Amino acid sequence: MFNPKGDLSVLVQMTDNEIIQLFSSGRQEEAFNGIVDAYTERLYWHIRRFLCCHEDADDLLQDVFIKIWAALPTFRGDSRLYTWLYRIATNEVLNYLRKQRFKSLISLESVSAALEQRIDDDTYFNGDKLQRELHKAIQRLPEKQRIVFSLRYFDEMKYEDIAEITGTSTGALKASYHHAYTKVKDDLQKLIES
Amino acid sequence: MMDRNKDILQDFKVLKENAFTVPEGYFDAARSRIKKHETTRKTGLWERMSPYAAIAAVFVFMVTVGTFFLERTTRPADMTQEDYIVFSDAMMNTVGYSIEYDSQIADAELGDEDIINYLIYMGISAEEIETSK
Repeated sequence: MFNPKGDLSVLVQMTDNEIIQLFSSGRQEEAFNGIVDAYTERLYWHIRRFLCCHEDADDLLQDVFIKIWAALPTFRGDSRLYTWLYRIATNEVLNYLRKQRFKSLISLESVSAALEQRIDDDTYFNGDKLQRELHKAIQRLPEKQRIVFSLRYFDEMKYEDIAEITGTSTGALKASYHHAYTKVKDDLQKLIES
Repeated sequence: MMDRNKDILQDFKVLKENAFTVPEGYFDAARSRIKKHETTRKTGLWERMSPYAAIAAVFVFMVTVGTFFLERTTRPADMTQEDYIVFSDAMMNTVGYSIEYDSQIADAELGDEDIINYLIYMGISAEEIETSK
């Protein structure tokens, strides 16, 4: 099994500027390949933290790149490439979670309970008990709080970048992160003290 | 009692580490698969326009067929019983109970996925449905 703590591949990755230059000069296919090389791993981990299942994350990653390929001609450089890519991935994740929520209404099951169960069943989860509980606590957060918590806590992304990705003001994001952080912290604290 | 001053999320650095793993060689395989899948798609004018051309062709076909049937069915005096049976599917349904029956049949053919996609398309959230119960 590959873990990001180990050696990363020796793949030479292009910078966002190099990719945009290729795209601007009409070399769309090369620009797309540059995006795939540079962002496959990052977008995968972003998706995986929400879906908690390798197989589903893999399927959704493919869908995300289909969307990127289709939307690439419309990229005008108004936003930065990496926030544009994260926005596409985040929207796909949200669509997936909304579908799951509707399915849960039909089947009368709880989505967050199902996602928590996925963490227990995931053969590609290598964390300890505390990490397991952290990810379960994240699944219990409302959608927006889950997104801002994941991008801020794990990726240490700036609020300005998260605002570009989610289309929300930085003030609202800071409030969401504070609520999410407090809930997750309290859940873990209770677990340790019990 | 819970100590509010403790910050477990900051104190335990291991929590920030990635706890998920992937099968060995997954990312290289995923990159190859994505590049192959996407860049083998043709991006010519016809490739981009073909869905619109298909919709236009279906529309023209429906108008042609509809006009033909309408012309036939607007002359009921000339219509035999056999004609009526043949063209009954193409006639506009104006009988109340029959419309209701047809819509029930249409509903029965919708799957959960269709309904979910429609609700998402209409911007309705699952929470709204839950709260309206």
